[in-house]
Amino acid sequence: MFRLVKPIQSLSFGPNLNQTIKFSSRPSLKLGYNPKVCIVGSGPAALYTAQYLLKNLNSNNLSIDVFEKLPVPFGLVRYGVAPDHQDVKNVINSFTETLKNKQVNFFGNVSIGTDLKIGELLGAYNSVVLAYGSMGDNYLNIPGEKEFSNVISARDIVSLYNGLPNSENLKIDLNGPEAVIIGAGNVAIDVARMLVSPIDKLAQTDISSFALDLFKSQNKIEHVSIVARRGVLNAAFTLKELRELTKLDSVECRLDAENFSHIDLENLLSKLARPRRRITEFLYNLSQQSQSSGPKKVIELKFLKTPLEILGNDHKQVSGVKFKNNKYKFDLNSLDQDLDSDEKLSSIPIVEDSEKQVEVMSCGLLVKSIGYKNVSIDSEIPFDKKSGVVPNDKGKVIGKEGLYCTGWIKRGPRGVIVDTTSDAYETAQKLYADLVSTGVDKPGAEKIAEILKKRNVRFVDKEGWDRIDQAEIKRGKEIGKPREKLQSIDEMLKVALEK
Amino acid sequence: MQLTQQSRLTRKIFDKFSVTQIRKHGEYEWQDPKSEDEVVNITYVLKDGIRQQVRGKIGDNILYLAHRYKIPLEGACEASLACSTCHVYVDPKYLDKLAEPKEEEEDMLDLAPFLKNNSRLGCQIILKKELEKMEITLPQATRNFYIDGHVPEPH
Repeated sequence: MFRLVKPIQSLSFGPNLNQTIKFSSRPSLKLGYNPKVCIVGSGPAALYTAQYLLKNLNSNNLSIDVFEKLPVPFGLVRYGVAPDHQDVKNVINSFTETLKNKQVNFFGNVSIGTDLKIGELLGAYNSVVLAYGSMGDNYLNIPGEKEFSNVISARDIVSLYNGLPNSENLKIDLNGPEAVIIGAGNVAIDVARMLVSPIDKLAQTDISSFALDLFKSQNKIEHVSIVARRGVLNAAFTLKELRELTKLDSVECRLDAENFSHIDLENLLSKLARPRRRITEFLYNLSQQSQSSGPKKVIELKFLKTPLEILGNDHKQVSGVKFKNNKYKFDLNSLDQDLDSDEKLSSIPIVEDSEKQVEVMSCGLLVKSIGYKNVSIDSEIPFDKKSGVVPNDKGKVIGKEGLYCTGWIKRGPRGVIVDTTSDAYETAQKLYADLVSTGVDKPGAEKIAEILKKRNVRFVDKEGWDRIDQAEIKRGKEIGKPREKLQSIDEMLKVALEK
Repeated sequence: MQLTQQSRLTRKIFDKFSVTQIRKHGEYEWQDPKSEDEVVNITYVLKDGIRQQVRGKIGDNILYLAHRYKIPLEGACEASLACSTCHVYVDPKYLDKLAEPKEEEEDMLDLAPFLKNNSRLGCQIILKKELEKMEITLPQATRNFYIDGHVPEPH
């Protein structure tokens, strides 16, 4: 079945003596067959998995095929990371190198589940890695949510400013002057920042031209409230993003001092782990700042409020949100237990604060930033609806031989790039061990290309993607942007496929 | 030193125009020391405890130097303080010899798994003569390990 040039005892994955110290004389691991791996998705989870395999399966006979629903790769790095965070997008440089590796094929514009079935991939490859992320949205499930217009999911706004194909069809009214964002994660902060950022600053990013024109012509939003159900100790955003908000020109970031009024700060801080301590201290300092009265836009952070109902006007457009007030069930000062992890902090119960009245925040735009949700894209994929992930053991899907998962579909839609890195390596290690232990030759890309041809699916390969990339950079250069993304799939296919 | 500055400046200029253009970062780190006066010897301690000695030079960035010697240290954001993938532990004896971390570095460190008092981002450490014989230790394990407490089997 398989043959190893090196005896298996001397093999090792991950950094080891042979690979690092004597890297000049790395053992060449050659399997007795040509392993073929495919990855569904082309974002960080997908490409970190590919990088690990290429680095550690030190053999030229490994091939990796990357499938992407869109004609272009990089997933949320391209369509999720905010346009004014170009530094975060630097990771695209190393991902591009990975895609350009001659052992890697790219199949863009191919939807798994519709154009190709998981069963077909499992037949054509030794291993199939699910890395397609989280495509669903959570709902508030409160009255008015579906009734009124301009109640919009953060994902749709993120897609809009990042130029995701079809995002330009979003019906959104930016006349404000007030916007409410429900949810207090980094996505909420991104959206708030984009809504109040000076237009000339945005014009230098790779924001979509459609969004830029829209912001320029109709954005009258002056006041954004970011509203969280839980308290100051549970804010999901990170300090870097919060700090950035407070440093924006012509924007004032506010937090009511009442948030800390019953808290013995020093005592509390001493119980917290460093990241939480630093962000809590920062929030406290923010809450102590006096409000200026200058002509500034305002971003206000509000905690301990649960939305009850969305209100609308005669035109069926959102006009406000009704909230009830919450409080921590216990006096935070008397809590003896260690509060050194976010898990412990989120286990402190909150209850309704009956001393406070239900309040209405008026707004012309309501953004729901309450998290993403995983979905199954093919009935053959084992999927646990309750936990919202593909059931797996360190990335190996339970109940389906040859199937692996990595990234948000594996552990749920949260976390930053460093989490994805270690998570992808874990999956890749598991996959690598299985490839080494057994395997037979599979048809791989050849077979798949044949099926796609038969089904008239026009797929974009690496050269096609490169043409799109070059066209976007060229267009961007002409107008002083790092890139001007092609907005429609038709346009992308035209550039990619018509030589 | 001048060379480093120059290459960083070039990077900045490039960044303005192009995001995906492939550039070799850390060109400076690929140059051998011109004289013994420039040499700074340091040791990387890898995840599995293996110690790898590296002959660096004044001005080398710990992250790019690691890449030159194929030491598995990530650098997803390419030293722009937008991620924490190059998290390392610095030999406590040398901690005070480094420049104070910026707020932005501290903010990123907050996100790093297994943060310790001697945690730094590798991309912010530039070699100088006083750092001779410094040890840089790579963090042991992944965040997953931290959460569910399972011990990875030995490879």
